[in-house]
Amino acid sequence: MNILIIEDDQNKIKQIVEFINENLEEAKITKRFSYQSGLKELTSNYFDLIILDMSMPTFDITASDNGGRPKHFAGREILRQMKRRKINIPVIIVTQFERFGENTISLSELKEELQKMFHDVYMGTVYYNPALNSWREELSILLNNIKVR
Amino acid sequence: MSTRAKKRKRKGINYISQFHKFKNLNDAISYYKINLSNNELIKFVKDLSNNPFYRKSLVGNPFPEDISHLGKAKMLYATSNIREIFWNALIVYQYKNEINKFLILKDKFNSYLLESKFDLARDTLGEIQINFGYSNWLIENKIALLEEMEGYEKQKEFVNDISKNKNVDPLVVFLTSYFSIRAEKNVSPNKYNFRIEEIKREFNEANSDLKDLSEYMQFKLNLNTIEDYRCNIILSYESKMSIIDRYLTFVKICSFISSNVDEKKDIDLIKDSIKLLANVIRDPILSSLSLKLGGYEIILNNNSKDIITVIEKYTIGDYAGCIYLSEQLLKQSPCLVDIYDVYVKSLIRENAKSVFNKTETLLGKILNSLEDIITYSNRSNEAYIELLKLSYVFSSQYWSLQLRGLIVSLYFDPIITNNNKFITIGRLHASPVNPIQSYRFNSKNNAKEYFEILKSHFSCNQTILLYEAILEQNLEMLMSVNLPQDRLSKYQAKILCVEKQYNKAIPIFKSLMTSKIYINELDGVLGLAECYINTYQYSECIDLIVDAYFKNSNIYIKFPLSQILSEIETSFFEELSDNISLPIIYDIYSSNYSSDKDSIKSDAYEEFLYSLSLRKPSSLKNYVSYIDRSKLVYYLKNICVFHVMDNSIEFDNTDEVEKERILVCQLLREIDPSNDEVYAEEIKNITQKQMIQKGMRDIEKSKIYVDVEGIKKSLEKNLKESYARFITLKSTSIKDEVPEYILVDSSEEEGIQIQIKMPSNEARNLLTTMILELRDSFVSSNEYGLDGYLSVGIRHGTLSGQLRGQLEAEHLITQKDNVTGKYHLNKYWREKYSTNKDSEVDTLMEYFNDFSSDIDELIDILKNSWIQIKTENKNSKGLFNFQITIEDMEELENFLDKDTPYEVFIDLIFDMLWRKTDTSLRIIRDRISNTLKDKFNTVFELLQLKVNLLKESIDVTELNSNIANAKTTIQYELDKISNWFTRSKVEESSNYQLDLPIEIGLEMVKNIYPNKTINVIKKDIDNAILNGRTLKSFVDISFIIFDNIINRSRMDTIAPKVWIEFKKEGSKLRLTCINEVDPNFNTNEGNKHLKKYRDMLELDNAFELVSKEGGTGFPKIKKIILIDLNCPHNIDFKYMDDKNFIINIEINAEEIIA
Repeated sequence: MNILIIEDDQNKIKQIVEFINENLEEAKITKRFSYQSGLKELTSNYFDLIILDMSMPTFDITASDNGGRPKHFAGREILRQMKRRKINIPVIIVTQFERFGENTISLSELKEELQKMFHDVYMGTVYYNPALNSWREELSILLNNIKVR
Repeated sequence: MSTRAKKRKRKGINYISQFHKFKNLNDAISYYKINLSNNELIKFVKDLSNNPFYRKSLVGNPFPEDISHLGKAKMLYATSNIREIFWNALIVYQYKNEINKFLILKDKFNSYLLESKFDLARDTLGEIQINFGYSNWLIENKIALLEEMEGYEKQKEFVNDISKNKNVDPLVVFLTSYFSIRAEKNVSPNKYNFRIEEIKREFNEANSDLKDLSEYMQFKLNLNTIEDYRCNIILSYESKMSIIDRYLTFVKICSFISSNVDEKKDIDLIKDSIKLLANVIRDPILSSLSLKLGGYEIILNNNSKDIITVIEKYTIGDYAGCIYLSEQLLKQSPCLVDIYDVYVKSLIRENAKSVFNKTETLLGKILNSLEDIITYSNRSNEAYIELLKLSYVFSSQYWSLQLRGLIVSLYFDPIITNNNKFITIGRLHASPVNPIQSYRFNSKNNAKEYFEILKSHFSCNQTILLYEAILEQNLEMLMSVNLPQDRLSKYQAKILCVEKQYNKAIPIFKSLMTSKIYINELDGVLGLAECYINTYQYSECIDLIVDAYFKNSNIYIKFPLSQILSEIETSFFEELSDNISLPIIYDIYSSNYSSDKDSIKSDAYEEFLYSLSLRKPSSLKNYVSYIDRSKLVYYLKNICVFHVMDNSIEFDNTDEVEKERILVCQLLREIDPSNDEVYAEEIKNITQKQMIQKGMRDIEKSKIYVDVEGIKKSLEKNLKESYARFITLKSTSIKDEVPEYILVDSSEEEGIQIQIKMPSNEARNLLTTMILELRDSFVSSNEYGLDGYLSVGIRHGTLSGQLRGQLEAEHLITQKDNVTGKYHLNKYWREKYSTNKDSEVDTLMEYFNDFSSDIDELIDILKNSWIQIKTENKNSKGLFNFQITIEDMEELENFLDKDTPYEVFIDLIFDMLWRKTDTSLRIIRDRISNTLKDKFNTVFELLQLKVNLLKESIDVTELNSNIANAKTTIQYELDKISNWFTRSKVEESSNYQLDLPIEIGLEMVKNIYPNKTINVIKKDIDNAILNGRTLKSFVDISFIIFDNIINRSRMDTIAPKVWIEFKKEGSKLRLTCINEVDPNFNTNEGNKHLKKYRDMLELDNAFELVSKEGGTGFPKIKKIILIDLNCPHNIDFKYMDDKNFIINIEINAEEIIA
């Protein structure tokens, strides 16, 4: 399975990659670290699954770039861009936040919105808390759903 | 009538005689208030009010003589909404004569107020107080008047007297304090609304028992919305107040009910109450409310005929007559809002001036602001806010309610104005003879009936016919109305729109758009937009709106932009993607309403470029002649900006976006030369930012530094001698001697033993000494060595600040107390969780302490263990490993022979030391990127784990978000720190060499003037270091000098030659710049001109010339040096005989040289 992870948290990527490698055979994982680099990757290559963070910087953070504007809804924006560009790849959101924007939208409201707006590709949202195991269970269920699909 | 009621009637029950059966009088009256029929209730109230003993329990205190009596009456039990309204009408009825007298004085007060005869207005309020005692109405208006006539302080004095009086009812104090806030000149309606929302939240959060009181407060104070209040609760609370308040609240409630869409149902229910009072109280609002009930005659008053005559004048196009009559009428009755708009529109159509001066009277101010709103002048928004504020401050006055309805209907788009309750209530307060009342009727029959009544009073009136034709949508009838052609066309097209005959309406609106009178043109544009929307001609629609917007940017408010954009997004976005108006209209929406469609605006920006097969906007330079110039300029100027372009997939990083913006600005300078300075300034700013960022990056990379030349110089004398001796000894020594090895250091912890070869002869001994001496200088010299730079640039505060700063920003760690060694309390979260149990919050505080301690421990490891110089005998854990091994010695020795020069020998040692430095740096980077990051993650996860344990009792959502943010950020900070451990050339953190501002200045002019160049022949700049804080100032100075060269050398075809010298001379800095000028230029004349500049610079007000020169030039240089840098200085400039211009700046720079 060809998987694209778009995520700016290095440790979270590490954990997710480890989990996928333990649970999926022959998973080929590509990593991107910002809204723009993620969007470019998914518009130029084919993937079977995209795992998306919700809040990310606009560009990759490097020694010469601070990443540009932080985008609180980068994940939702990527889903919107996929829809605009007619890219139909299943997407799982993995987020560390329970509220978004300036505390304006709750996680459950966001899930509802994503389901309504992107029901074709949106598979679900996993709340990631490295201190808890539940994210692994939630991700596992969603990965199984994709395998069945 | 119920059987019980019939029985009571037959028996003629005396209710008073039954009172003894109740616990108290209040219970008794409440019981009958709830249970009697309407007719019984009338008798009951009459009986009780005639009896002085019971009267007080029935009506409370209708005229409180002292403010402490207001609000103290006992509340009866509330009954149903309708019954409560009826009960209130019955009580008010008892005071019909007093209310009538009050209404006369109220009108008098309002007239004085609008005429700005404040003294008389104050006297009238005094008269009201004497006759009718205190009321909330009186307090509210007294506050408003005091603010208007004597200002904030007097107003607050009055309010303080009330609030400090312990005898005043708390409810009255509370209301008073908000009347006062509302009246403050600096409190905008929005700010006030925000405060009211806050108290609503506070009430709701505090206690559910306060729900009723909260609703009453909202009714009295909320002016932002009209809610469906529970009338029984409101009137119940109001029964504590004066009869004036009770009457006005009764009217307000009936108005609110009347403004409901389903008016018929509700208005019927209050029919009896209105009927009861309309017959005895001479208040036009009761007459207007009665109109809806049918069967009532319009009660004409003195003004009725005048009002309809003025409106009629306008209808038939006798604008001069309308102006004349309006002015006569308004001088007598300034509160006649009915004629405000026809008066102002007549003034506009006649291009005449009002006799009511905006600075002299409140009325003049209102009329002037109305004109701004109607014409959508640059002041329109300000004017709307001003009038809205006025309507807030005098919210209890009928004219203000009518005015509010008027400004809402004039200012906003049809989506907002359709069924708007403020407009409905405003119209309700219009004169009953004003045909605009007909808009309030939901039923056509009721409206027809109303017209018939009007016609019976005013036959052959054209205005009535016009309203009737509009209501009937009857074109034939309309054509028979005596209207001027332009307005006839407007109504004709409007009726065609209602009949959905848009194709017929479109040419009429188009012809209106060609009118020379702006309000006709506006009618044309708005009508045409409506036609396009209804016929799905969105391309034409957005072009129309954008064109109208370019002509008058205040007009956006009249278009239903949100609705238009939603329609486009649903069905027309792709179709419109090649229309440049599409991104523009999204930008108009974004600039004036909300950023919620900014992502779609970015799509529209991108799609427009793609439609031309372009990827970046700077490529539009080849399409300049094909695209509407004003739209192209708008697109490039406002849409091709950083925050839009960075959404485009065509850019990979911030730098690319910034460079593209510079190209866009360069293109704009060509196609929009009138704004050249704006674009040049933007280019300058971006360039400066980029260069400074680069400077900062360079500085970050320059933390690893050794002053090799300094070391060489300082050791040269000794080493040279030793080396000469070493060469001599080496050439005579025994060649095959076996070296001895001795143990010089051991580390039990690491299990390593360090051995070096000790030469058994003097030559080797000397070599070892030289190498160790150089190594020690390299790493430890206070002046030149690595450790000094590590100490200053990294270990001393910088490293800790870089890491702690991010965590402090998320409120996760606190500082340690220097004395106690304990961490400070985390006040942020302590306050956030102030309503939680102390024990739980204490536990959380403990977690923060542990977290702070863990983080500091990690920083300490990095700082005090890893980033230390390790040699044979110190810092065994240091990662800068400069131990000299046997292999190092042997390798070096192998390179040396008797012919090896001293310089080569020294360089060989430095090469070895730099190799060791590089190895150490690699290890440190690796250690930070892996080990340290993992350790930080572990500390964060531990905190998250602990915080989650409190999840059941504390809402940790925000805290978890902060931890997640900090955890991600810290990883990048560690990457950044890791990058410090690379070798580069520049010196310290933010201080800079003299050449940096010169280079930035040159780069800026290069970007701003891409087609002009400066030919720099010589740059003689020394290495002096200036304090980092002065960089911007020197960049500005150098830019001004180069900008002058470009613009004033008069060398348009050849790049002028330039010589730059920037030097530190003792405690002074000297910047000299010489540039060529046009050889044909008369330098003598030029010098005469320059003398004026020099003289001006000597003046005390020289800095005032900064802006007059457009922000560039010598006064600005003087200002920068004297004010920004705070340095004594001397500036001299002149044309030289040899056709060159010279500027020489000397700065006494003691304070700014690093």
